[in-house]
This record gives sequence, structure tokens and C-alpha cells, in this order.
Amino acid sequence: MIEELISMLEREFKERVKVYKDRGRYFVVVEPSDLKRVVKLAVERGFNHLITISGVDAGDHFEVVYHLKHGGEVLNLKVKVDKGNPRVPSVTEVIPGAVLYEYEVFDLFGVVPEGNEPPGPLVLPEGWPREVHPLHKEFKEES
Amino acid sequence: MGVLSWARAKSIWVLHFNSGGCNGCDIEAVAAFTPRFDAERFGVLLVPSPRHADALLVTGPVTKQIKDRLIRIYEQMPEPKFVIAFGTCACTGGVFKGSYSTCGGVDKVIPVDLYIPGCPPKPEALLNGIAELMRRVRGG
Amino acid sequence: MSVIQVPVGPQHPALKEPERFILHVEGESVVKVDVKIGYAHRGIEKIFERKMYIPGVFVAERICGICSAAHAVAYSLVVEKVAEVEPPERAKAIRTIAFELNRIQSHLLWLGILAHELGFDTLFMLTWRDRELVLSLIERLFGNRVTYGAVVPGGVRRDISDAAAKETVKVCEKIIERAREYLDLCLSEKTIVMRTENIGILKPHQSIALCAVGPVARGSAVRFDVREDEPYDALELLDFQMVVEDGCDTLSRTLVRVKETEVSAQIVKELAKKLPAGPIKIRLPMKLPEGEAVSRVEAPRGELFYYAVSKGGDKPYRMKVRTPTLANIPALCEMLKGCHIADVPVILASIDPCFACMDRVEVVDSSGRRRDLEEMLRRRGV
Repeated sequence: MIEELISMLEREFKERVKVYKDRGRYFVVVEPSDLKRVVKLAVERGFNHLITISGVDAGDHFEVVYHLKHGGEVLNLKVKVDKGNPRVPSVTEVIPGAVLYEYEVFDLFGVVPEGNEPPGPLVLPEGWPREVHPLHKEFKEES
Repeated sequence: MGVLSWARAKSIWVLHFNSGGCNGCDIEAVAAFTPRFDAERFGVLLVPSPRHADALLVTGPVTKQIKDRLIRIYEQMPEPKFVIAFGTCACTGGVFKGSYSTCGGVDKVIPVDLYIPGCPPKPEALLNGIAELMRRVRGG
Repeated sequence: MSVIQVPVGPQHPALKEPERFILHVEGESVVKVDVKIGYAHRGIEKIFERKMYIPGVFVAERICGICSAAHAVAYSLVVEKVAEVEPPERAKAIRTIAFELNRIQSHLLWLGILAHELGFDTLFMLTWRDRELVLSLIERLFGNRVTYGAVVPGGVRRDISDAAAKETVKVCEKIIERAREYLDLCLSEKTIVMRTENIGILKPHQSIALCAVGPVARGSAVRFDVREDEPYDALELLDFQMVVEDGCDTLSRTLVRVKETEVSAQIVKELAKKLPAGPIKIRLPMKLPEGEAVSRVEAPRGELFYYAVSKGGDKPYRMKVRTPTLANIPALCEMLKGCHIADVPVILASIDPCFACMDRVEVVDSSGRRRDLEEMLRRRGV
């Protein structure tokens, strides 16, 4: 099932997708501009449950990972985002349940979901500075 | 011991407030009021409004978001009032100490009369705490 | 008729935990709901990054005191996957016992809360009395009632003796008997049926579009249970029967949970009868290799998800947690739409919300601007 989807994605997007397997799970790195189409294709092939969206501060860039599942198989779509202008297209048109996850990634990493812009400064206690995102590696907690 | 404190010691009404805890303490606090432990036999009652409460039972490490609400609830309670910090998080911040969004204990925000440590404390510990509170109210 | 806003929370008698809901009501019916969450946000994902792998499990347990075993197991599974090790068979069985006992007490607790919201406090006291049976057993087996501290990456910390296993079987038989009684009660007692049937409707297609999980999805006829999709620990060896109801309302969600209580008790009974022999733990290396791993378990409230990134070293580089209540919030807003204001506490209770879980990384309004989830979902055609 997941192999079919992945070989289809490889055919369709050629060198714009990069596939690797880690600990028994598939990770597919896609371009931000292709994200919506890839998600749509995955949803059409049964991967219609978005588990969550994770952000990772990978040093010189952010990674935004979309975990989609179908039965016991999990497809991890990874998008690399530039730290200077962190934006990803919103997937809420395809998966309405993604709303809160996109807000969450904005709160913790400052990655803006285009098309589902958070209506206000979000996460965290009231009065939290808008440009500070606690899951950035350079953010240090006072002890 | 006056009549007032005698009566008060026999009818301590408690408002339970979760200040961002993990629920572990909350379910143990509620369990103390269910058939096996039955705290109500000491005249203790869970009440829904701060205006009716004698004691505030706070669980959780006090998140920065809830801090102002906790202070407001405390201010709404009539005198004399007692604050019980229930659980390690409420006492000191517990495992969440040093996190960017918690204050690290109830006593950083409002004065605390009674600390009940444990992660979470057993319902018996709450009963013990209530007995201690009754002794204090009587002026012992 | 004009629309009036009714704020509920953060401190409110109908809420056991601090969250805020703003109900927009027209007369007696709810037309719109705003949710403000984040009162219990404790920054746990950041804390994980400064904890070593093994002590991290104790933080994971404290994400939520009600589903503590689920968090401990999910965390341990993801760490074991990063380390590429497999715990011994006996440890797997003991873990599953802890996990399913945790589910039993959580579902009984939930049934009590529902009964309390219905104004049926007798049932509340009854279920919590039965829940003490399970808690005493858990205390006997693991030494603690709420956070067990038993499950760690690499296995478990405490063995189950033969005498304790025998007692487990006995308690499970009692629970099965009680669960059947509760099932009868839920189907026949007017107080329950009238307040839950056709209340809080969530259609199957809505459940799928909004990515609902756990008993909420299964109450809407969606076959989604991680224990069947991807069995973990000792569940691989068992014949697991998924519980699905097709009423799509609060009653269905109630029945799913009551029936699951019995299913879980059967699982524990079966495992306690034939615990595999052998060691209960393997040693994990201090430093784990680089890599990424994903683990999923079926917590009492639904699918619980951990995603770990390791860059080598003794601490995780990133640990992401997705808890079931967060996944069910969009579905909750859908259920509340059009309901009677008196039914709000019951519908709220029907998703078995656990805000402590949800808020470990959630969202708060801080500028005074209202975030309107409902509006957002409508724009997306839900």
C-alpha cells in the first residue's frame, strides 16, 4: 500500500522527492510548493488521517513533518523550511482537521501556515513576545 | 476555642482548583470524596464557587497563563481562608520546575497554609491534611 | 433573536480542569463555540530536550495522570525504536497489563464523570467504588496508584509474582461482571438513555475529515484502533476484538467505553494467566544512535503519538507528543453546534477530554483577538 504510493510519488515528482526509510517507517522529503498536491494524492489513496504536524529545529533550517496514516502504515512527509522566511502552504483545504496542528507549529517554531494564518499571537501565556518561539534551539529556559 | 472556630472546623468547605496539573492529583483529590475514603464524614464538602469556600485546594505547578485566574479566585474567597498545596507540583513545581511556562509552585503566587507532597499524594494524605487543617482552625 | 455569549471556565463547576469555552447561544441553542485552550501548558516538549532518555519517561508519565501508563509505554516504545532494541517477552506482557488496567480505571472514571454531569450521582459513586478495586490492584502490582513508575525504556522495573497474578485474575473477573452490569444499565436506564441518545451527533464522514480518534471515532462507526492497526507489546499475541458502535451520538461513545472496559479486563486476565517466563528488563546504552522514530499506542482517549529525533548522545534532539484530546477538539466543536445549552456539559464529557494532555503544547489567545475555530472550519467546508 505505502510502497505503491511512494513509487507513484517518485514517478510523478521525479527528483523533487527524496525517500528514505528509518526504523521501519518511510520518510518522504518534498518541496514546499508540491506539499498540497502530495497530501492530496496521499489522501486519495487512503492516507486520510493526519496524526499531527511536528516541527523540528534542524540547525540551519526548520523541518515540518506531516504524519499521515492508513491502517498501521504511517507516511511521514517532510518539508524543509528556510529559517529566514519560515512559511509552508496550509493543508487545511485537503484535511480540515489540520487547523490546530498548524497553529501549534506556528506557536512553537514560528512557521506560518499560508492560507490558515493564525488570527493572533498564539501559544503560551498572555503577554508572551510574538517573535520568541520556545522550541527554537537557541531559546534557553532560565533555571 | 470560640463557637465560631468550633463550627468552622466541623464544616470546612473546599474549592478544588487545577492550576495546570497533570490530573493525577485531581483524580486522587476527588477519590478522597468517593465511598472508599469518604472525606465528607468529617464535614468536608467540595463546593463549586470560591465565595462559598473556606479552603482552596490547589493542584498543579501554576502555569503562567493561569496565574492571574488563581489570584482572582483566591481574592474572591471570604476570610478566613486557607490554601492547601496538593501534590509535589503545587508545593515546588515538581518535574516542571524551570519550564518556560510555569511559575514553580503555588507559594510563588499566593500564600500557602498547608503543603501535601507526593506525586500524586494518596487520598489518605489528603484526609491527614484535612485533619491537620481542622486542628489549626480550632486554634490548636 | 440576538446571540448572547456565555463564557464557561476556566474555573467552572462543570469543568474539572481549567479551560475556557465561549458559547454563542441563541435562546436555548448553541450556534457557535469558541475554545480557548492552554491553561495547563507546561512546556513539556522543551523539558524532554534536557532530560536523558531514561529519566524522560517519568516526565512522560506526568503529561497526564489519568493515562500515565499510555504515555510511559508510548515513550518507551519510541526510545526503544531509536535504540533498535526489543524488550523481553515478560516485560511486554507486564506492560500490557499495566496499560489495560490503566484503561479500565480511566473508563470507569469517565463513566462516573458522565453520570455526574447527567445528575446521576449514585452511578458516579458506584463506578468510583469499583475503580478503587482496580487502583488497589495497581498499587499491589506496581506500588503506586496513579503514576506507576513501572514502565521504562527497555522493559519494566517490577516483576509480578504468581500470587499477584492470581489476584489480578480474580479482580478482572469482578470487573467483567461489573462492566456487564453497567452495560445493562446504560442500555435500560432512562436517565442515561434520554440524556445521551441523539445528543452530540458526529457523522462518520465528519469524524474522518476532522481526524477524530479513539472512542469518539469508534462511536461514529469508524474502525480505527491502534491496537488492531499496529499491535504493540503483548497485544501481538492476543486476539483483539475492536468495539465499534454506529449510533454516532453520546450514547454510542458511552457504550464503546463500557464494552472496552470488559475487553480490557479480558486481555489482562488472559495475560495474567500465562505470563511468559524470563527477564523483565534489558539495559539500554546511555548514548543512542542517530535517527528518527515514530510510535503509536491506543490510549484510553484514543491514538497517542510520539515522534523522536535523535542526533546521537544521551538526550533526545526533539520529542513530539500528540495527545488524543487535541485531535478531538475540532470534532467537539462540530458536536456542540446546534445543541441545547443544557446538553453542553454532557457533550463535553462525551469526548472524555483530558486538558492536561492537550495543553502540553497548546494555544492561547493573548492579544485579546478572538480565535474562531468554528469560522475556520466553516471556511474549509466542514
